[in-house]
Amino acid sequence: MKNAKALTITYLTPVSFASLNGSDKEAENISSIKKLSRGTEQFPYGSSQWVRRALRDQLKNLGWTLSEGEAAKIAKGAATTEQKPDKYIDDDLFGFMGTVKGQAATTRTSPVRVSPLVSLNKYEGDLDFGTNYMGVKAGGNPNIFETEIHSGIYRGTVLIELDRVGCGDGFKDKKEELNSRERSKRVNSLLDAMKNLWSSGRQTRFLADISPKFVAAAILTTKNPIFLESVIPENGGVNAVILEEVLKDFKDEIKAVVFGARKDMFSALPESTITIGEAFNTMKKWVNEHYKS
Amino acid sequence: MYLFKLKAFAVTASFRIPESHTFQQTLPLPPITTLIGLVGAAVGLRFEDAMKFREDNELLLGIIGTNQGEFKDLWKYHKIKASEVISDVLVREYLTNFEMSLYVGSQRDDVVRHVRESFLSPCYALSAGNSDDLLKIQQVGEVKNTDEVPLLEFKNTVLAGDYSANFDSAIDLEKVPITETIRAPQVYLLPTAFNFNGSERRVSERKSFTFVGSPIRLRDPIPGFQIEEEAIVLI
Repeated sequence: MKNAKALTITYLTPVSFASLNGSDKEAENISSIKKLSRGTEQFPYGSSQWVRRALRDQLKNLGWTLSEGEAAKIAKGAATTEQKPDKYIDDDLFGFMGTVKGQAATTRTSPVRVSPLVSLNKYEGDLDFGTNYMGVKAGGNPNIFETEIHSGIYRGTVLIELDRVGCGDGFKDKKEELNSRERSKRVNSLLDAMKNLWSSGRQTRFLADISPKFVAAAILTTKNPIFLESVIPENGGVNAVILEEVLKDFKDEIKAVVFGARKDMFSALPESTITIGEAFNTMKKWVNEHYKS
Repeated sequence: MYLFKLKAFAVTASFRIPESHTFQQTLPLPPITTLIGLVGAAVGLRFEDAMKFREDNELLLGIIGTNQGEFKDLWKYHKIKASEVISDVLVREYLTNFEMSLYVGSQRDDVVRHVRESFLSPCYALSAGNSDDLLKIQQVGEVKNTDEVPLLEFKNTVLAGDYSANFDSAIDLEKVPITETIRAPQVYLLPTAFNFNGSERRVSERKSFTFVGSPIRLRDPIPGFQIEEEAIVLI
């Protein structure tokens, strides 16, 4: 794993009944979900910042202290974090930009790149109908509302720039940079967060599990999300031919590859597919080996 | 001219029009500064150094790209107003299933080969606009030595200059599906040079660019390269 530069994971998560990521209001009393258009169809998605929020929350659940909410030092502008990547895992993995009037901006480009979680099934116009009785006791009328809901298979990708975790921009000097053990620990925690991916938005009424049920992961000598558009559900399974083609096309750049799945959920999978847990354990081994070498 | 072609794909792409804030409209294709930033990310240069790298090496870039749709993404963020942190939203426009051919050219063979090698193993992960618009490199072509030819017909590309008075539509309406959007060329005045002062940068030059969507035929030809089916002008 010596020359590895990146770990990429493309994952599928079937969602049976959800209203994942809220959008801007399109109509009165209807809570919309984010959707993108392709031709005449619309496809729901969870934005990349929404996935990042879910990953941050899971890191917190895993026991990490996060660096958030430190107001910028200027009177006007965007609020930022503590900007201490040596101390805080989220500043290290997700980057930041801080500005102080009269001083150079401190920036750290996130070494973790996160694509949106996009549904591969179109939005069918389904709405959940509800009535809010909260104001009735106070003499008001029941208030009706609707929420856009969707069922389908969602696909997302994460790319981790292994050579930029725990070092580089945002760290004051070499002394502040992390040792290989700490880098492994942080990347492995991110893998745990991904394995247990869960978003807090709209879960009170629409409890949805967005943890990966199929993963295609590779550790690479180049920074390229090779499975980005190539994990394709087909007839209840996953198209193995396209994945084989990707492996063939990028054989010179791939150090190791793994496919993992909650097997009984899919009718057909690539031959070498192991369980989700085993796949994430394999990735952790790669990470440990990489930072040891 | 020595040049190579790179093919790439992104699920989402967004090329913000400068100076837009709470509604961040996207350009239909990456502007020249984004392309220079992309080369910089591959080579491992900060934007300021990438601008200099392009100038020193007379690097020219060309783009052809298509997308399958658009959407507006809602961003919630925290901002500071009167020393208080408050929540606010902005809307950013995106393209989806964005496919692009990037052409990199120079009179210097060694420079083009260096950039090509960098795209084979980029220093930073590449993106199509925002850092989360993951860009997958599908193919990096070989370096070719090619001469310019006069070109008249273009589609889905960016031309340097304002061609709004120098084109006729080349759309064959008989063959266009009814659901396909017809896009007239759009001219934008975009930054092309900056004065850098530490991490601060100020625009020092702007030039007009014509973003061509649906096919057009220029009234007067311009020099460019015909690479297989693609007509490209390096800018």
